[in-house]
Amino acid sequence: MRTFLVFYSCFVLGALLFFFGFFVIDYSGSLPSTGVDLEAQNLSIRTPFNRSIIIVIDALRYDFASEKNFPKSFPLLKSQGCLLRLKANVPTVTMPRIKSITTGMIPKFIDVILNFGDQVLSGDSLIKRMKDRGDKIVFYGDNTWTNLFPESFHRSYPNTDSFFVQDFYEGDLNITNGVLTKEFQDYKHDWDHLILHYLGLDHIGHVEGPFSPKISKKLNEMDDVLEKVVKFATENDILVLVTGDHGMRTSGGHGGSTPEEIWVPLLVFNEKVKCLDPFSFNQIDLAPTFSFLLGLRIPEPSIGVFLDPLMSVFEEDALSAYFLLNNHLMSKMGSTNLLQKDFHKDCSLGKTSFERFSTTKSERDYNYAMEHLKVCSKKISNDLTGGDDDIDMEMCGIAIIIVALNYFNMLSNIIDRREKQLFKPKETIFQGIVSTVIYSILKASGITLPYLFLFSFLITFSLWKSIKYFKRLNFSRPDQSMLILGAVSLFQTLSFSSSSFIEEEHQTWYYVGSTLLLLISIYAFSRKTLLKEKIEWIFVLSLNIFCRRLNQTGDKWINIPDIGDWLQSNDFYLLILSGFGILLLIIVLHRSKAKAWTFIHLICGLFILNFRFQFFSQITPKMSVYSTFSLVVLMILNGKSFLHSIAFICSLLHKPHNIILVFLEIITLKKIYKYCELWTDKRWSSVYKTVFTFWMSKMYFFYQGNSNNFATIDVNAGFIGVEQFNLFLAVSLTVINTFTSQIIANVLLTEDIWKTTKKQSSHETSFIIQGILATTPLPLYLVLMIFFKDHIFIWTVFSPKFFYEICHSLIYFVFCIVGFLIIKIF
Amino acid sequence: MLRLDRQKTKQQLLQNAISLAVGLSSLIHLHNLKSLSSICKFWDSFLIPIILIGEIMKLFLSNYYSFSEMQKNQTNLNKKKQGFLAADKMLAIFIQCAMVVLYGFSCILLGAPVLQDYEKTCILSIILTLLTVSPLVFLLGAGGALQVWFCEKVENIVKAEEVYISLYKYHAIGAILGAWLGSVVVPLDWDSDWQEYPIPNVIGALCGSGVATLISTTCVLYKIWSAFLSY
Repeated sequence: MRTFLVFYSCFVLGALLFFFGFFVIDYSGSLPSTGVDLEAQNLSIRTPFNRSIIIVIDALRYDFASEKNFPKSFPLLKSQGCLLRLKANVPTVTMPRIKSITTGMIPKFIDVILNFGDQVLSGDSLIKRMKDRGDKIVFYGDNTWTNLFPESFHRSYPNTDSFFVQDFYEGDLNITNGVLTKEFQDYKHDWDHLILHYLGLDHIGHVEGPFSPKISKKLNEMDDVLEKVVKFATENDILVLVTGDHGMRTSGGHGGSTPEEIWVPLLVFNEKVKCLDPFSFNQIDLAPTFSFLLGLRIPEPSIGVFLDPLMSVFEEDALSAYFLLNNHLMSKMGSTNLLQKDFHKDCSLGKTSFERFSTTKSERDYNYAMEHLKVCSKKISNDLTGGDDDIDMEMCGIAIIIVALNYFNMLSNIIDRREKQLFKPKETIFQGIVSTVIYSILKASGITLPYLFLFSFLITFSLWKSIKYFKRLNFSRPDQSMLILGAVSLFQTLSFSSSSFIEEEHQTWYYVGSTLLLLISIYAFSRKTLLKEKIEWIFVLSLNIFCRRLNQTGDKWINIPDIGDWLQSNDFYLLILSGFGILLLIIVLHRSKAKAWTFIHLICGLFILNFRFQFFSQITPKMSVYSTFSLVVLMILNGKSFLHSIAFICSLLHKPHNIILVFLEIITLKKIYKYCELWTDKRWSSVYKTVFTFWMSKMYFFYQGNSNNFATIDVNAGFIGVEQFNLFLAVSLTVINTFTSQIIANVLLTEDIWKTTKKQSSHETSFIIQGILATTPLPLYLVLMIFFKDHIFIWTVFSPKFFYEICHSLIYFVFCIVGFLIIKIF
Repeated sequence: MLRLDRQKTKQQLLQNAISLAVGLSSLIHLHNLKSLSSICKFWDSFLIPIILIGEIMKLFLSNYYSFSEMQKNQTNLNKKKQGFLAADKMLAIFIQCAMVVLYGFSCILLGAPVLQDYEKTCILSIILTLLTVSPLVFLLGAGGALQVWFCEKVENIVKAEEVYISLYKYHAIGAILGAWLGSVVVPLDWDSDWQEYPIPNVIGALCGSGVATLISTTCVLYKIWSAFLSY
């Protein structure tokens, strides 16, 4: 087991190295600005607006911006404003989107993950430009902004809990009150730019979905705010921009690339601006347009173009603006790159005709130049947004080698179980020498990588061990039914080469899991079993059929209404179902020897229900959560069975309609274990149990509504019983909730195997097999990631899946370590 | 020297030929349908009659051979002539209906819609029953079929029936595996009409039994070939 753990940790290290190689974290945005200088070009462009109000309404998707939802402000738009359609880039998560809006570039995929721990944007941005000019910026709303731009704001009133999704109204009201009383009255002239970020809409979407009646109520609230803001702005000649950072998918979350998520509206209110047709542009086009409207220079990283309908405010200066934009984009592209493109002619034509116009001032030249400059800038922008291979190939290649070798070592470790001393002094010295040699070779060949020495040591270590194993390995003929067990993992691994099998991975596991259930139940019925047993089986099977339909997941069919959606609008049935789930859980955990504990479970269950439904008004939700936690601690201290405490924690974290899944998983696995012992060879029964547990836990993972997409992660769970945002607590609670099925299955399996056999080796085997099953897809998947690096779905399907796989193997790594410690201690 | 049982080989080959013909003609029939979704309706395709006729033809074949066999040795004749009793007939019908329900339940457990589309589930389970249950029930009656499934040895059967049963096993296992594997195309995002439940499963069942028939034919041909070599 110790050998296995060492290989596993090397494996995880390798996978993490791949992660950092594939998603290069690069914030070298603080280069000296090479942007265009107005003075250098000897051009003067008027500054249409000196003051502005930017309102970001989180998750305002395009179809929300309608006359019905904004009855007061929409008519204003027609006479003095503009409605445009903007396309946000993937991932549709708040922080990368704010970066796009303020810098005009497309942030990397890694930002989604960093979304939970904000980072300072040190590079050039609109905010930085404003501040450098000496403008006073005032900010209200989501604290992501203050984390991205610390000390940039003259005054800022951030919400402290941007992920606290239970708050629908309070945060937004604070913003509105602050703006109306302070900024519009007391400090009327003490600011130049006002930025507001409303979160309420996004929170409603996360919790209740886009069809909730609360949505239109919220939008009406926003409408009231807009009316007042526009009124103030018209009196003081201020430009007002309203936009959403991203949309909202039909199931309520966001993060993916469905049309509902990527299309957001842009509403512009000002008398000078007039446009009628809702044209479509990109979200990155906001930054360059906005910077010109305020008389600033284009932020250095920007690769967007102008929002053409807004450029009419420049009148004849518009051409110069386009010329400057073109210069900026051409310098982003680089002149050598540009010459290779088929549109470089447009660019040079635009440039020459612009120069001709500045002398002739003829209308023909103006139009000609305008046309070519527009084409050129659009093409360059498209080109720059399209290609983006910033993958550190050397790092990825080395990581693949490490991962593959260690996977092989783990696998041979199960075939050849003789425990050996892993670090012999002589060998270690030898490995040190070899890795130093590799280190110097790598260094000499010009590869400059971080962690270079770690790489070389890992490679040497894994290679050395693999060769040693390879020499001694004799493949005994495996059991025939074992091959079937392996075939499922093989199919899973191979299926990941198709994006739809990743999106719909739940289908694979539903099929495998229910086939297993079917076979075992046929076996159970063909034996002479008691009637009670048969009824229990029918109950388990039908409950499985029911629970499969609780949450639609995946990609293609996720929008089909499911039982969970229906329950969310029927509180009474929801209460019945979750109460039923808790009751069944208590029954299945009941042991006749410990009746007192059943009583405690009952109280615990009541607290959980009270937390969700509030039928004892004296006990606040906060109190119920804390009492549940303390009862769970009591159960842990009892020390008899870890299963009880983990089951109640998971029930607390789950959405109310998912509580029944905790019970279902426990009862199904218990049934499977019972027949596993009868069905299979005694020697192998623990192996079968382990594999079956793995499959079933995968199935319940998807039953819960999870998928291989970030949008389905239930962020609410991270804030149960938490008042202040606490990163560590939020992440660990979310992880526990997301991987509930794996945790419960593991605890159950361990307890069962410990009960049935006293042999230490079979305890170890079960952990090792689970580790191997969890890591099997990764080595090939890494190769696939490299192979598909230009695939259109690489950022939307393959990368999230990769993240899930890494998390999955990390979770099982934790299981293995905990298991190892338990085995050593007891 | 290998001796070849001519009667048996002839029966095997003929029976496999019928199976293949049924498989081929049903696939051709599917190909000629205006849209594949008419499989999902009872009266829009001839799939079920085609399979049924095929099974009856195989039954006749087996009966013909067992009759000629029984004429040679008179002993078995008396028992066989009795035919099936009424109770046995009722039981046979009941077993087939029960199997349709069981297959339907398995389909639902494996992910078929519960409340809508029951006609599709019904058709799939009828086809599976026809391919896997009916042949035995037709030949041996309910009691005999149960014996084949649940007991190791079957009483009172002649050699021709044994041949029939051994080929039937290939056929049935192939059909079930094929129908099970057919679902593999469902998650793909090709949006074709044949991806819709139960079309891949029905085609899978037909193809599966076809492949199984091909395998058993190959075995028979191999036997003939080795007998020919040793001759």
